[in-house]
Amino acid sequence: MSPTLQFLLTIFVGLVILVAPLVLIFGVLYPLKRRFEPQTGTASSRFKMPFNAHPIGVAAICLIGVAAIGIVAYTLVTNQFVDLMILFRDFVVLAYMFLLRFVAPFGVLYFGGTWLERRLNPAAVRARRPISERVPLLKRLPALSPRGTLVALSLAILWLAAVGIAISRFFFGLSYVTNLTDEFPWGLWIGFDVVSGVALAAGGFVVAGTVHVFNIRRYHPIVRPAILTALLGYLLVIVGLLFDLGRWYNVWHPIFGAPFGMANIHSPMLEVAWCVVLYTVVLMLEFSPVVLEKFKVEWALKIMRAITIPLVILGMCLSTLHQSSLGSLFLIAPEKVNPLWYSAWMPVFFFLSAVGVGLGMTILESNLSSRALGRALENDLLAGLGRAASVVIAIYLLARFVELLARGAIGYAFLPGFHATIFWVEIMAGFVAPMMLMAFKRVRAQPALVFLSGGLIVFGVVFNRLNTSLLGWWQYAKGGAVYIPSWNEVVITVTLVSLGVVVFGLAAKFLPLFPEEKHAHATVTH
Amino acid sequence: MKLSRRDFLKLCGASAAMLGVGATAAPPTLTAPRVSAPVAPRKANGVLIDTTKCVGCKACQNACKVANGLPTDDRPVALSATTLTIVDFRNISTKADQPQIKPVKKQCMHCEEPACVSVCPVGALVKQENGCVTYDADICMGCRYCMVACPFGVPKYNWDSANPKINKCAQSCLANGKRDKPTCVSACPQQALTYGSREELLTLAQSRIRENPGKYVNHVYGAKEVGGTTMLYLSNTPFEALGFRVDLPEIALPRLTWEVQTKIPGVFLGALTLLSGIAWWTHRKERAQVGARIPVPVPAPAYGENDDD
Repeated sequence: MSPTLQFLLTIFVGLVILVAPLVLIFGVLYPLKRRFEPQTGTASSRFKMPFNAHPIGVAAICLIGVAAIGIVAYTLVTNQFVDLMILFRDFVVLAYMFLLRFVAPFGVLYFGGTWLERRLNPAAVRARRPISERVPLLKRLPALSPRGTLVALSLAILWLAAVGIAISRFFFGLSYVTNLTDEFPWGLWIGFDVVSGVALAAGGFVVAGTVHVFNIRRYHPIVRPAILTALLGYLLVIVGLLFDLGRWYNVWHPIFGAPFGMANIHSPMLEVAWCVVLYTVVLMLEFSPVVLEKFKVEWALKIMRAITIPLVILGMCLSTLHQSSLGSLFLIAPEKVNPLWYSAWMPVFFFLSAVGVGLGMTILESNLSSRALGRALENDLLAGLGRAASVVIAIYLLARFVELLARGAIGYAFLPGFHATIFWVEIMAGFVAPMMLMAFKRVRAQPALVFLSGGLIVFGVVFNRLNTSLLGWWQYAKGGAVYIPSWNEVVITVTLVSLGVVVFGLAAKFLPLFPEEKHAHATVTH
Repeated sequence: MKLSRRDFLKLCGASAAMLGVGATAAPPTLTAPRVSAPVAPRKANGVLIDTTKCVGCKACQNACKVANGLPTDDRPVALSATTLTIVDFRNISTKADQPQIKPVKKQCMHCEEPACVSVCPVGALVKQENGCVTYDADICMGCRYCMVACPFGVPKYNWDSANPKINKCAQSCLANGKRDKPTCVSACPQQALTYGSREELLTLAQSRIRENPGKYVNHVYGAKEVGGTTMLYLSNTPFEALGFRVDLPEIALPRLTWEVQTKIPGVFLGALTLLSGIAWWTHRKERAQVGARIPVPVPAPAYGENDDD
């Protein structure tokens, strides 16, 4: 079966699965409801139907019919039923995964919570304004300023381009949009979106651990934004991974396929996959109090408060494992990764630098969100994070240089050339500079310099990940072949980042993300 | 409960049938048992490739393409998604104006402890009992970690496909049991390729080096590289000139990651114990105040009323 046809078929099958609920609701339930309802008027009778069904239901049934006829005809002509079954299976499992991981938890929490609340505390529910009187969500959005309009417009263009690129990539294959080759099988989407993305999302476990495990409660105001940043980071890592995986419809294999022998414990990537999936669930739970508070689901909040500490500990353990396992990913390629970055201790280095960049990213995110949302900045808290980052980076640098010396690879750092240059740029700008800056109390007193240091740490760690996974490979390829990401790859990456920023902004607007800020009168009792 | 892959597909087919789609047959799969650990099999068969006998007729290359149903009309210069074995014409001359061409066959080395098998997170690549490394596209999710891991750069990808596969020699010409040796071996008119058990081939190679003093470089490529491969090479020119990597370590690459992987349970339990202990210690005051047992509920932040307005 040709790939394009197979992909069209995939779309068809997907359509059937997506449209099936519509059929059920508008084609079956809605007519039934109308049938047993007293006929009061001629509402929504503009579309005169020969039978009593909603137009959407009719359209959905037609769509499924066309899809089914197409699939049956194609099957009869090409006799490729087996492939079809595999596609169908993959789609069922994907839909099941989506329901299980995204829809079901929130559905259970929300609907179960409201039901319980109605049972337990009917007075409070009655006192609340009825839904019909509430202002719709979209109407509460503010009118855009000229600058806002410009931002919205550029975002619209960017996202449209991204949709186009996504269509080409999923219809025609990776070579239509990326510069990947057999010599450079991993590019920007793995090097930045996944490997760096996971590192940048380390702020969640670092800050949550500081507050809930080490019990340093003054950092409490920055826990929620840090956890949200991490959650968005991990969700975007998963999206980026789907873009990069050639057979993305098999993405469930390492998780749900494990009982069927589709898991190889020798692979560091299996470990990363499991930890990322589990940690995303943990992050959702860690973030759920914000949503629950918004909707005032008190009973669930009580449960969440009781399990916060075990949850944070579990999240920290999972983070320790997969942040270091991202380093183990490259252990298998000693003959490809440049010796300046390849080391048997890569897992430890990746973990240490993840802690550092967790702190750096929290500084960066607090500064950016305070500028964009007009919040006051938690200067003393960020200075404290900077100081911690300084210590962590000092340990990291010490370990890295001791290892370079012990392995006898320090000489490569002084061989004039591309790799020595990027090595020193990474070390000096990305690690030494912020470490030195944040070591001094006078410097930490200046918010702008703390901001700068946070930015430098983020640069350093992202550059380190890119050097390990992409640039450090340039010496390996024969004939001086290099990999430079295509514009399409960059657009997708920037789109993912912008999606994260926009969702963060929306969350800050509609959820109690910075509660202390909004309700200055309320005192936090700890 | 342990389900084989075939059973799983049957199960899926059956459930799909129950959904009203219809019955299905399990797709053709390689029926060898799944090996979760990259264990070196005892009776690994391999091929000894004597490059001194090769005349560069490309019979092996074409036979392989025919056996695998791949296009024969392209003119490949390297391994690719449609070329699983290639006769690589190397210029071994050191002088620029006097080229000296030496043909050498290249393909998957079928390592004793393959890096690709060890890194595949879903186990789509399997080291079979007979020594060859096979690939199952139905399991593969296309992460290309095998391409990253392979020290010989063998796995190739359908970059221009929406449904890409990993392409490498999987000795699928032997899969139906009709042949007793790979097509490339039987196609060679010069008997440059010898098929047999790895131990015998190693002995044979050593004896050829011993019995023809000065004819061969005193090295069997693949005997020790990355823990040994089942494809072995003899040559009269240094292997570096033939485009082989001579800087490969003798340790089997999977051991580098396995050493770290085995520490995962310990690290997890250690971190769990350490962090629980820290949390228990740092919350001692709260425990005393509240008089509660662990876990201490985090005091509810007294957030103000924020309704929807």
